Amino acid sequence: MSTIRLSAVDIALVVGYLVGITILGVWLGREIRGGRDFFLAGKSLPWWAAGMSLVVSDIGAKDMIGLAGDGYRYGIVMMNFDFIGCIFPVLIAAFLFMPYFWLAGVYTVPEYLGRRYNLGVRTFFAVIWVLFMMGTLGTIFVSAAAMFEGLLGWSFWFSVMLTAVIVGLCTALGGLRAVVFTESISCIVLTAGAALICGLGLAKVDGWAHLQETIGQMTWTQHHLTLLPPADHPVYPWPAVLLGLGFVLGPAYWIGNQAIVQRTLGTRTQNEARASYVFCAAIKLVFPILLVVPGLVGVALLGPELGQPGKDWDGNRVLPMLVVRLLPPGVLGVVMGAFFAGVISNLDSYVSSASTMVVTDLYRTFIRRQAADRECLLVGRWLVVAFLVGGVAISYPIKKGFGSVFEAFQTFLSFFQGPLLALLLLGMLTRHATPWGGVAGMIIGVSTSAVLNSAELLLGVPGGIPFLWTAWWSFVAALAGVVVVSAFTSGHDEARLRGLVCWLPAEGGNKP
Amino acid sequence: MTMFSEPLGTLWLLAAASGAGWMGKAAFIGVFVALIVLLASLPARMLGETECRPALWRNVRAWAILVAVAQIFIYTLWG
Repeated sequence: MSTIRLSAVDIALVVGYLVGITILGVWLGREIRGGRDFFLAGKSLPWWAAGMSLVVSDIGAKDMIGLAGDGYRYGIVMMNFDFIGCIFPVLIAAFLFMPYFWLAGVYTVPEYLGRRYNLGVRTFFAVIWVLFMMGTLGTIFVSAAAMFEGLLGWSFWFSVMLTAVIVGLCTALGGLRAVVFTESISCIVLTAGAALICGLGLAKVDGWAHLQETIGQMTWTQHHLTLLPPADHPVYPWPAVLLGLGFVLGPAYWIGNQAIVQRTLGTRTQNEARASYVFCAAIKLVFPILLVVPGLVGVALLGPELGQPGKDWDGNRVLPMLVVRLLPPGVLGVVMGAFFAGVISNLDSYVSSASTMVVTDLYRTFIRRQAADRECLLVGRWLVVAFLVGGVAISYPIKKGFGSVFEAFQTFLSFFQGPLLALLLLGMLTRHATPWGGVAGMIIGVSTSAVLNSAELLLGVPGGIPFLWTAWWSFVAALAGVVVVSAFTSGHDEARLRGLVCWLPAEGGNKP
Repeated sequence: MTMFSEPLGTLWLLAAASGAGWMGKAAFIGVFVALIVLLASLPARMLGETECRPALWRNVRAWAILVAVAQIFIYTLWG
């Protein structure tokens, strides 16, 4: 694949963007006095900034590259990750869950689980999340490096180190406030870049109608133009999309993912927390179209060259190849800025959240219970650096081990998302879930995930089980575990549950 | 694993044979219709709307319903 040479205008745009957000991040960090300012932006975030930040925390370089590749391979079914897998749970979360997290005044999701169940549940999920975020950091670095290697010919390590330094400066100095405001800018740049690729791609293939016609004539793309493939589809059967993605993975991600929830916890009021989620859902109506359609354009334009995807087919090549062929000089700067925006926003979300969880759920709980606010701030900043270094270190083995970055991300997710959602749902919706019920649900659910994820090896299921089914059954198993064990064990008294269960408002009522 | 997947799988395959297209579309649209009903029926007290009803353009619940309607349109078109 040939790389591109950026014109002076392109370089100026990219450098201007990178320098601009770094300065903004550092500048916003000047008002940070303690842990609450660093981890929750002093509860000062406006709804629009939190909403835009939510979008780019979820959609980064991994999605731009991964979704274009999977759009090429599977078609518009991939939009479901943002439709039923995002908009549906986000709207539910906005009205049923976020207000209770916000009112509980917690810093992290595991902290909520600890108050609702016990320290064991809290610690388990905090550790799992931190490990997951480390893995995610690695996948983001790999996506970024694949993009910049394909487009600009940069080496893997140069791409990784450059992004790590920019993110480190913004996040370690500016905290959540810097993360959210720089991500708002990233959201605009990302939208502009994605729209350019999508629009120019459609123009190149003579419009949507002609693209549909071209894809319809191919033999291996018979389900590419439907959001709901048949029930016997090998990877995305519609029932699994609905149950696994819409009812488990999506809600677990949007309700239980610290990198997502933390933005909302930093908003000024409960109503702004809700509004930020609804604003995110509105933006998500458009984003999947901008990200998946380039994959279909790739089928039409690059089909003869890339061929029909097989087992070792590399989907990460689709978007870089399209960018090289479609975009004229001057426009490339915006698109490259968008790629940087995606990478940086994803990275800063995860390092910021991982740092918050380690300080709140591990450091303050097990190491220094009496740690002062200033000390937590200092530890949080150093943890940001440590997580970036860790992410850089594991990026190379991840590059060697995983074929599709996006699939790797989903595999990580499906392992424990079902059990987490079961505990959150029952914890928030009923007072009858007990601490021992929570522990049992967690163990049963995660064990189910582990067995189903290894079904090919352990159960002899040829080709394994689709990860969406794994998510669904681990959720059901965890749900059953909590219900059964809770029936035989005693729970917390009503006073402790006030403000944690939605039918038991905190003393004085739930004020917005 | 077959004890989990077979009964459901058989059911869905039967559905597929008799036209999973409309069934899938109906299921997805049904989810969003149920969501709209839920959003519309949430008590105002729960949303802090007790004192005065916000103007429509500032009403978060109305915006959420609009987004859900857009999803129904998308699944009707591409489902």
